[in-house]
Amino acid sequence: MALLEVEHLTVTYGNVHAVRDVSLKLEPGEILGVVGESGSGKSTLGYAVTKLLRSPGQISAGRVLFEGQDLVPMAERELRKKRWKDIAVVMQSGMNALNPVATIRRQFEDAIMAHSPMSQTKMRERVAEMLQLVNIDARYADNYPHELSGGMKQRVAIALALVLDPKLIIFDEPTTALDVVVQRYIVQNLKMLRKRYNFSALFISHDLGTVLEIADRVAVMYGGKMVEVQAAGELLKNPRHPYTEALLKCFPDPRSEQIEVLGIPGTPPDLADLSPGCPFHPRCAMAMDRCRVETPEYISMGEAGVACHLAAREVEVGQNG
Amino acid sequence: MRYLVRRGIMLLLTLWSAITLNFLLPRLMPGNPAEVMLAKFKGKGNMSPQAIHAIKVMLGLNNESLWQQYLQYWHEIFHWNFGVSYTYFPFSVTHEIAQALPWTLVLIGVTTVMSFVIGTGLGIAAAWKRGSLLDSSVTSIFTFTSSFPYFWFALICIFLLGFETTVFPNSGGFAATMNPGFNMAFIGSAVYHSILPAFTILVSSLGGWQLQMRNNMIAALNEDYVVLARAKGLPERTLAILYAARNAILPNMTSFAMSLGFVVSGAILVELVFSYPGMGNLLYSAVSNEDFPLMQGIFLMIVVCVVLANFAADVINVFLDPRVRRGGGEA
Ligand SMILES: Nc1ncnc2c1ncn2[C@@H]1O[C@H](COP(=O)(O)OP(=O)(O)OP(=O)(O)O)[C@@H](O)[C@H]1O
Ligand SMILES: [Mg+2]
Repeated sequence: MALLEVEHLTVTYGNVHAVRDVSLKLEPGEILGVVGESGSGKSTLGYAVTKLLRSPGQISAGRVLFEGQDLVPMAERELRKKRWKDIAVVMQSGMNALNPVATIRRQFEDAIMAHSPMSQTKMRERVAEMLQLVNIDARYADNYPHELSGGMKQRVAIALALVLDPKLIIFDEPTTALDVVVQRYIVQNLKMLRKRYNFSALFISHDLGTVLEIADRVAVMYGGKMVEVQAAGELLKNPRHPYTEALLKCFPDPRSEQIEVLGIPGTPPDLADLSPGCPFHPRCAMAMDRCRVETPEYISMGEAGVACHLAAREVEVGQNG
Repeated sequence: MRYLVRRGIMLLLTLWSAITLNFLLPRLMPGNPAEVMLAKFKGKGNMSPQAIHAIKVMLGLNNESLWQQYLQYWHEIFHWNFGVSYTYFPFSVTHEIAQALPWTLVLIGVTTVMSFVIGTGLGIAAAWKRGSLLDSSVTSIFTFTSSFPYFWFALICIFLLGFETTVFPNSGGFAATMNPGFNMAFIGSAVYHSILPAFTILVSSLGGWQLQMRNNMIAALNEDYVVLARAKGLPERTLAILYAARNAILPNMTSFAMSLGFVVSGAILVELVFSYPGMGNLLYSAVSNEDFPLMQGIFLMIVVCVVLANFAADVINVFLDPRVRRGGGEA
């Protein structure tokens, strides 16, 4: 059974449809990267899965099955038992994710005490062990968040997410606010932790490079829709959706001769607009008449999938020929 | 601790400059306040030589050098000797302040604290249960009451509860037939007289604290660390108190400490409307009678208390906000 299965999820903030009819599947131990430009609904998807949407966010349709159990209708009281123990979160720019008036230790301990209470000594050991995992000296446990650098805070946030050994971790842009060196360091650290703890993750980022490095599969979002999913290596070699292709051009391979960074002309779609048609068609070089009037359906092909009229035709041709 | 020492030195400096300003002001005033006062006192009766000396030292009528005067001024201050009140001759300024201060401290002090505690509590509750019946009723009532002009509301209360129905006395701090003393009958009377003014103060000030705390709390509830606390599945109470309220209250603590400092000046409007025998009334009569010694004494009291309250606010912040405590970079 899949660890996480999202089915036809739609999330609205008032009349803004931030996530539209998104489905995805996550196997135990798998890391699914989620990429897309700012405002494409990545964070919204992550928070909807954990039912932590900020008001006025609402799940207006769909199911979120965690180990086969639908979280959407579940009462907060029930859900609270699963929180952190089963599903943990590392927030976008972890800087502000730590309570400024509590010590680091306290923020580990309240999570432990809420779910699996243990003795003070055990807890001290556990906190020290977790901090060492992310290469932070245990003596920092008694410091306050503002006394740590941005990179350290982010690593503390990661250690905090691991403290109860959860099955699923939602990473929302864990490296975005950091400089490149620290970013690299954290990504290496995460790869090591993943081997050791074998958690599944939804790894959200708008940095395709980071995602390709850490994720097994990558989902590309555009205008609240999931436009393509593929294994990381495949996506890089053989993108199916014109948007993915455009995105890849924005992240040039540093080893290649010609380093030419191309933006994608045009602006992201208005998320309040519900008229039919592919959300990407105004910016798509390969748009056909059909793309303007008919919303392409997401065609699932096992581990992968794409929502594009053009790609669908190619897939068909490929299968028939 | 280094921070507190720094603030302590700042406190002493501020006090010194305020008290020095208080020394310079009457000396810089056009005309000669000391001369005017002494002339006015002539009509009142005999003054003791010490009283005359005190007036001269405090307001500046002396042949000695400014420096000599300054030293004498400090001498008088350390002996709580601010001269004789013109309005309440032959009583000294210190005596008048000592008479009025307890009334104000109790009435305004207690209501200020109550208003802060209740208002903050209701603000937390309203934000936590945002959109609930409690929130909408409490918040709309307070939005309404905090827009009342104070004197208008106080007069209506006096009219309805003091004249139309004589549920409460309409003025004074205690029954006119009694002598102030430390006995049950007198304390009972004082409490009885304070209910109406206290009520009007609470009604007009609660709303401010409640609305402000509700705003802060709503902002705090949207902070990443509160969302993360929810993700951690912490008990509701930890979430509401340790994560949200604990951070939301920080900006309010400073305004609270400041408002405690201003307690001493009394709520002039309150004390006038209710003819309450406190500092506000005393200040008002000092000003309207051009009673310079009394004014000077009261201003000195107010300045000292405000400066001390400021310091208290710093101390509180040190205890509540670790960002101030160590280094104090961001705060
Ligand atoms: N609390 C909110 N209230 C109203 N609208 C919101 C709220 N949060 C997000 N939105 C809207 O939902 C859409 C998707 O936002 P979301 O934060 O999920 O995007 P994102 O892909 O994570 O972008 P970024 O890369 O900037 O983090 C945006 O149009 C945004 O304006
Ligand atoms: Mg985001």
